[in-house]
Amino acid sequence: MKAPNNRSYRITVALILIIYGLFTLVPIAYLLVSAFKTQQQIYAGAASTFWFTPTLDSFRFIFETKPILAMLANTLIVSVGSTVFSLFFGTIAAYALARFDFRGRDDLAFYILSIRMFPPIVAALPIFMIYNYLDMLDTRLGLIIAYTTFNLPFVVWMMTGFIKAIPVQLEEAAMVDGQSQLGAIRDILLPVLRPSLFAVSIFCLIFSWNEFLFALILTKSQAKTLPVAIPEFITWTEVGWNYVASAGVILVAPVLIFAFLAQKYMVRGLSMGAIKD
Amino acid sequence: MAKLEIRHLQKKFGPLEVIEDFNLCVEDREFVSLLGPSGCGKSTILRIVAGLEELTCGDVIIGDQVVTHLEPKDRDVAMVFQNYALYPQKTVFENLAYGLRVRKTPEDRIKARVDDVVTLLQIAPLLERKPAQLSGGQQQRVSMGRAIMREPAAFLFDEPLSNLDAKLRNHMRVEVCQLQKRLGITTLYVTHDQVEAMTMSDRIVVLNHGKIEQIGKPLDIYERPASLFVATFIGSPSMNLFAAQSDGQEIRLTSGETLSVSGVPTGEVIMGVRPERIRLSDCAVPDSLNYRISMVEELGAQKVIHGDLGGVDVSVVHNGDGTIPAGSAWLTLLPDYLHFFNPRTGKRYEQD
Repeated sequence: MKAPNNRSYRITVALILIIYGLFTLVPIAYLLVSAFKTQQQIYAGAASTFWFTPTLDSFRFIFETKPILAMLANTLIVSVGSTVFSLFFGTIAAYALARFDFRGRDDLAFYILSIRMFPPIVAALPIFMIYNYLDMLDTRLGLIIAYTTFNLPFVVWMMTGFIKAIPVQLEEAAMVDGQSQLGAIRDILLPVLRPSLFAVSIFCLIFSWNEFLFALILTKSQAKTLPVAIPEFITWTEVGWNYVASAGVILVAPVLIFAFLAQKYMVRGLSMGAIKD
Repeated sequence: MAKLEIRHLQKKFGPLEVIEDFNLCVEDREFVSLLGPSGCGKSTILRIVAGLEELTCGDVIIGDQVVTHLEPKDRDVAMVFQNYALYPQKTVFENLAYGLRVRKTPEDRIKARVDDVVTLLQIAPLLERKPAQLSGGQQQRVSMGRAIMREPAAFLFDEPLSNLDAKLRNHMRVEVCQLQKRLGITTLYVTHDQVEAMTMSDRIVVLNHGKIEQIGKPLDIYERPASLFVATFIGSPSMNLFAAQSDGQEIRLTSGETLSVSGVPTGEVIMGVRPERIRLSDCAVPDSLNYRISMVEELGAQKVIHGDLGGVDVSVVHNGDGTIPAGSAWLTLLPDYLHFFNPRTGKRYEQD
């Protein structure tokens, strides 16, 4: 479709984009300024929302009272771990679904997707019981496995589509050229898939990074992740919004920076196959 | 350089038999085409020879080696795909070199070989480009280059020209053909384009529903089609067919006209005559039949005339540049160019 090129059209588009930009960015800006305020400044009224003397007191406080770095490390390890697991097994499964014709293939593909659809809370209690029995509560591995359950179907579904979009003749050409099937996947298919793998892995990372429910139920102290720790600044005696905000900034900042650097590749990876023929 | 043999090949997809008892021997240095409509199993046969598809039973022999159960990589064949299947992330050089790289060939030998191949195909300026930066014709050349890099025992082509535009296709046809003759590599070439098959091959295998209809030299297939299927599949416009009754000496068309012939069995027959073998005249001559012209297609070098001969649609290719009489004309069917087929089996009746 060709976009009309008149003035009012462009103004409307610009307005919509500005409103949408504000809608997504204002909460982040609000989080950021709140992190550098004292408790009193938070409640000082609308006029001083963006006009105040910044302080690092809240950051100092949260680092003194809680093992923020350890929890951040847990979050990172669990996110990367489940992403690696999901990507490895998911891509293998996706290859089978995309390349081999077997009975019930489409049903299986849809069944795998449907796992992603059921509410996590349904699985939380059984997983708790199983982990309790296996002595896996409050372990990073436990969380990695739990997150993989939800990331895996997503990876399988997305990667199946991406692999289907790549002509099988590429691998066949490599096989006739003297390569084994596995070698053809390694030499030819994987390099072509790299942008897609990258984009899908970012989605997995962000899902695990933000995850709250499982982390709340399955961890206590050793494997506790940062999202679970944040609401703990809201207690019976005080509502420490400034502490919540500074912990929030620590949680959000790496993802924001990463997404900003990687956005070009994400768009390319996700639009692959969608554009081709 | 080797002979390529397929013995008693059978292929089933589940209960569906797509190829039944296929036998073919491609001699050393020979160019053989598998020709047939889509779905006739020609690509499946090629993929079985390459080892990309399992066979149900039978044997594939390349040179002196039975390769039936070998992996594609151990068969020493090279294949050119319809979509070229160039490795998109590799440069032209790496695309060409890949087969030798996999075989751990020393770098200086790879370089030398790539040099030979790009000189042969005149693609030297493209070496550093990625496939996406090449035109269709250039991609085609690179994919041929990749095939000849290893000097394989046999070439397998899977409709390699069908993604090119008409002009380039004519050009590449000649080029592929010359290259094959020059390198002298045994070739199996799959196509649905009869012009490709006719012009390039030493022999053509015409396939229909997984069965061989005829194997022969291009001209034999054109002049002596073994069945109604071959008769109508080869040649454009396609052969004119008439239902007729024969008494051995004379055949009578359904419209009542008679022609004297010899060596045709008595009973019902189907008579065929190629549009380019019919002589058209504007006045009655001995043994000519009345013809009503309904349409003339002007092709420049020749005219294709459509019309009606005693209730049957008949097309005629006319090479002369004179004007075509409007409405009515006379056709002469030359006995030497008549074909007769059994109406039940579709097989050709051989005349002496």
